[in-house]
Amino acid sequence: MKRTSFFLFLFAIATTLFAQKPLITRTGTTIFFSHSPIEDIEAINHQSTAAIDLAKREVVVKMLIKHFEFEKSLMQEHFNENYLESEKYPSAIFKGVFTSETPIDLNKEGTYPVTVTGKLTMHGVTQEISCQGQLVVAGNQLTAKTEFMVRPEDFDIKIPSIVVQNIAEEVKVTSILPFNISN
Amino acid sequence: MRKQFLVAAAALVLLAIPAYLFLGSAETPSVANTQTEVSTDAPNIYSSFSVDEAHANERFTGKVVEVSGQLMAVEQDEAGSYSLSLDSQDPMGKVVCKLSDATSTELAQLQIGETVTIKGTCMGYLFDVIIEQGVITQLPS
Repeated sequence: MKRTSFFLFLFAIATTLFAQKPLITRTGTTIFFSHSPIEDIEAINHQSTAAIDLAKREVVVKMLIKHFEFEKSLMQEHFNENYLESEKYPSAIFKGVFTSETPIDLNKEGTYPVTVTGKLTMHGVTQEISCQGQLVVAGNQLTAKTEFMVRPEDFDIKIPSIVVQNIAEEVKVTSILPFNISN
Repeated sequence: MRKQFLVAAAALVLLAIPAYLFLGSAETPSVANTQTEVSTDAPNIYSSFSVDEAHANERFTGKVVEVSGQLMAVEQDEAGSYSLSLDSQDPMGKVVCKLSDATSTELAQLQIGETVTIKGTCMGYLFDVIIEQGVITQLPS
């Protein structure tokens, strides 16, 4: 009997240790969407990387500005060279923590609403961000989804007056980060 | 009638040559023909980024770099392009080089664990150091 409980104890420790290992993805998607009466502009980054630590409730998301793809290549060029200055500031990074009312169980399929707060650094400027998100456990995957608004102005991103009406004052940022649970 | 057709065809060809030359020269030069700005190895470039990203960005990002390292993996993405992963000797990440073109002979010569040298544009650092528009400059001998 004692022996059984000892092994159960070992097993419990082993699974806790396993669960503490952060999950990593290199194939996350991040979308910038700007709506204005003149046009809608969308830029997609399919190579967003992220790490999530469910035990510490920490999350880091990082991406290269040059990996954002636009429908029009000229827009992409302006975005990199004039607005985000990607040669000078190559990446955008978010570091934060999340809270959830229910504990996240990777063995149980479901959707867990979370609140994320942290710091977003882009174009050399760091701003506090707080937003709602979801952690979805389905099959062998944990998918983190979040959506929030940012103002280019807050990140010292200057939009020339000639196109100011084409770009929204607030840009919607959507991130979808799929993590493989088995890794 | 036939003469007119021949004249028209000749005119088209004559017009096409300068157009082809003009458009051809307007293409961006490939990395293969660009001079290497920094030569290093995979553990060195990786540790530069992991220790001080801002400094490493100044040193490498946007530049044509030549990096040698031990080949860990060869992967093909959905679009069909190949990426080589070089060992950084750090468990946290690696050096990933996306090839702009690779011949099947080159790919066949690649051996996991052997040293290769690649040349490409350094894009920056995520968990890995990212190099794009890469070409293989030295294969395992």
